[in-house]
Amino acid sequence: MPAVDRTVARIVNHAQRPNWYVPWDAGPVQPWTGSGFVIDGGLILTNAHVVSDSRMLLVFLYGDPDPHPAVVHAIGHDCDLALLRLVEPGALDAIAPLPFGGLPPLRAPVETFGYPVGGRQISSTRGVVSRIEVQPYAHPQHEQHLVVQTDAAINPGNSGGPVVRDGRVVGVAFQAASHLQSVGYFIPTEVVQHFLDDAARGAYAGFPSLGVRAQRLENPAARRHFGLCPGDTGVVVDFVFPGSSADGRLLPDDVLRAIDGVALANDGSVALRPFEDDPDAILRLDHLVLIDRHHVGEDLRLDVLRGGRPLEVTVALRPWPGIGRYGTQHDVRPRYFVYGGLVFVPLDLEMLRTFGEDWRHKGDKHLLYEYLLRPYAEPERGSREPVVLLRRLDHPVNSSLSWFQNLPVERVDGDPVTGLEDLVARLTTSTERFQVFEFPDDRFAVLDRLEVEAANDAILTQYGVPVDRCL
Amino acid sequence: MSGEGALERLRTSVVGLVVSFQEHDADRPWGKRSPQTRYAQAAVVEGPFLLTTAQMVFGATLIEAEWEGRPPRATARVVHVDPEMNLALLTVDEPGWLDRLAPLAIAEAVRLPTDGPILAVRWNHQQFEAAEFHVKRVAVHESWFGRQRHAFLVGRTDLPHGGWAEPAVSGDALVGLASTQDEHATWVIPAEILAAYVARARRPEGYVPFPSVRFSWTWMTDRGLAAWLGLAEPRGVMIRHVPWDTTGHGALRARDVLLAIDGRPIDSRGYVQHPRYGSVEFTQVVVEGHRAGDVVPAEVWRQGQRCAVEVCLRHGPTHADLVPVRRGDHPPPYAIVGGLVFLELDGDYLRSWGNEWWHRAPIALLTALHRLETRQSPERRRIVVLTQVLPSSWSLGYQDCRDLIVDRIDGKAIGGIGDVADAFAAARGDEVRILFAANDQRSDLVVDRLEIAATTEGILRDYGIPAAVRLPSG
Repeated sequence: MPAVDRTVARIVNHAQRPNWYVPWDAGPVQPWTGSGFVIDGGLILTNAHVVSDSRMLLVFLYGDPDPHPAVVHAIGHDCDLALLRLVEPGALDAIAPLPFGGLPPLRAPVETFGYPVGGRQISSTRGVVSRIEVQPYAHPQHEQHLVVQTDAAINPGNSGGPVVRDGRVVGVAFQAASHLQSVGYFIPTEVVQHFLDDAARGAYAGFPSLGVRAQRLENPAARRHFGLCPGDTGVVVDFVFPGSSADGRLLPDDVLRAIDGVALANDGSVALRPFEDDPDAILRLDHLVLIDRHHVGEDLRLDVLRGGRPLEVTVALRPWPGIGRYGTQHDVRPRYFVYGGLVFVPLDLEMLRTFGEDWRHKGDKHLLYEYLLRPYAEPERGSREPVVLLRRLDHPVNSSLSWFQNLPVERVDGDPVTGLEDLVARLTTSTERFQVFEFPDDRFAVLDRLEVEAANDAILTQYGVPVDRCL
Repeated sequence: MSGEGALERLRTSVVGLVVSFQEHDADRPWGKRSPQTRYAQAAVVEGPFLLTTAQMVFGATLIEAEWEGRPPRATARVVHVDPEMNLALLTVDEPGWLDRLAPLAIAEAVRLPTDGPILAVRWNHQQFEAAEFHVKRVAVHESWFGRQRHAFLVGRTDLPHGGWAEPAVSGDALVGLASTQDEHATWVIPAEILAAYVARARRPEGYVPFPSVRFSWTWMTDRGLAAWLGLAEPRGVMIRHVPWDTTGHGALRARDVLLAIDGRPIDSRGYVQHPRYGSVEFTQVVVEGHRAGDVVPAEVWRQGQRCAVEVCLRHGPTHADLVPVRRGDHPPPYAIVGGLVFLELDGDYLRSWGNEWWHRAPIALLTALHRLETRQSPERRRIVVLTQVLPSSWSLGYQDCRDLIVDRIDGKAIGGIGDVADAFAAARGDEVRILFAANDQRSDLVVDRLEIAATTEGILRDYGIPAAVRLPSG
């Protein structure tokens, strides 16, 4: 029996994904399948998106007809990886895990193994390494890490399965470009090992982020303006995200010249020698790869040009502060508050997705401004959490507010709202007769607090809302 | 008027217009789009003049009138146009051409229900078509051109593909001109507006425009809001913002509740009782029977008290807006600097994103259309956008930049296209830095100042652009 096959498992996840438009609704339970494989320590490695939002996980081992219940041992949504542990101890003892290999070079032959749709038996496909670069990871939405592209078929159900070269695991299959031909992707072992190392520490901390927006310095005039001498290279910091690793350490107009001693080109790329098989071969990758090689809490050494003067800056790395707002949310319940039939939720990606996948175009323009542009226009708002009046549960206390929906709440009773918890606290502790809500463009809504308090329970009962809040 | 005799008389009161036109290219403002032709209608009114809608003659390179819808055509010219009211008067200089026409009287006002049927009429391939126009309701709506709001007769007619200024006639009188038509309704500009327009356009002293309401307002249906403000019951409309130099500026304030205007009480949805139309939006009171410069009394609820104010009614030309909805015959101002293409943002540019432009256009530009309208000032009359970069080695690295709102150039605040040219001309140092309003792409770009002139010259030559700058007209 081939050694690889024995390590590959089929995973069935009975998942329940909440409805962000009806945030108290836990959603239907639906099964979906993916793949995984046995690694050291009696664990199964797979993708986070295979096992997210799970109510029950079942693992089917090669040649074994019995389902094995499993639990999530560790999960990294930012890199779309997860570890499972079978509930039954020792069930994997007889399975020898495959060793890991390094980054395969371009055109290297690779094989995928897994349980994609189209059948129930293990499946294998072959291809070559087509491309290696930093690209977006679909599961978290806002993250980019190193990926390897292959023309080996990767189909739904393949996710989480191993990609093997010469008997060694070189990656985890995880996504495909459905609008292109023969374009699949796997997570290379460099990223996998980062996840495993972090998970081994007990609590997964995630990949760190520098937290800046940088612009290329391809234009000679721009290079001169920011103090670069002829032949010097780098990228210019354009924006520093409040609360990020770089906050207080880097400034707009700083030129990043090197990270950990590795020089940045004018397009932000770095030249690396990442292949074990060919140590002299150079691969030019986005500088994000260098940051990804660190863990949260470690220091990053930066060579910076500030006002024309060279400077060494050390940055203590932390995750990007915008993860919760700009990424998909998994394994959590939507946060909400229902008051007088008005449903308040935080403004985040999941809220915007209630407009559909084309939310960038179909979303309410006030919300899109708040989400996409206002953080740049007013960075001093920093850690404030925008709150949205999502919808209205119709009741006489609020029936005159018929058009109030999908609106960011600017103020309550004259004071800016800093987050959902802040809104809840103000509304539930107020002794004023009227609750005054202010929205963009000088729009108001006013509720009579006494009327609301008298009607709250009836509204919740009428609409089947089990509890008025989830924070 | 009834029967064939009536239609026979109408034949000499309606003319067909053949309008060759060429629109400016919103994306490449130094050029124009391919020439096209539209077929429109005009009612013959006292003068005689030809009354049609302004949208029929915008961008016209040649207007020809057809008597009975057949050749020979006679060249017509625009005597007057009011873009905001979407009306235009034309004449024909060819001797005797107008003599065979019979002007229609314009009804003083449309009273519903009318005494007899309303007919929508037009020339169509030498056939004179007529069909009844059934008025369903009267509604106040923005005119085709911009933010001017007034009453329309809304109804249905069996004339397909209308909305090309077909006259609506009742008896011997003109009761309206069709402005737009879709599968649901036809929108007709009513007689009282036509009559007022024609009279004003023919004044020897010159045209006095219609006033418009440009302040933003919101319903007062919220019982809680009314109670919070101290009102016994919801009524009136709450003023949100009064742009400078527009109707009510200086008299009305944000958070005033406008209770009545010109003696007409306003309900909580902004409706007043109209002697002929029943409930209509209060803005109709401002437009009907008034001229820019008139002062009308108003009643507001302000800080818990009822106040009497006097509101000066002002004209609100669309082209003066921070983001004009349309430019009409005003060519789009632009500036090309070394391949950087700067435009003054307007609705025509936003409409270049197609039928669903309000979804597809960049959010920063859409936000400017709606959110920043409160921030127009004498120093910031327009929003200037770097729409694209015509690439060259000078702009290396910026060739993918698109649709960025310009904030400052070399430290100078930009409030119009003229500021762009001035800022580059006044710049010192070897580089010029362009700062953009907050966006999710980039904060700025830096270009070489010393090579601007030579680069611009090369760009104009290579791309066939006639001039580097077009300043605003009108």
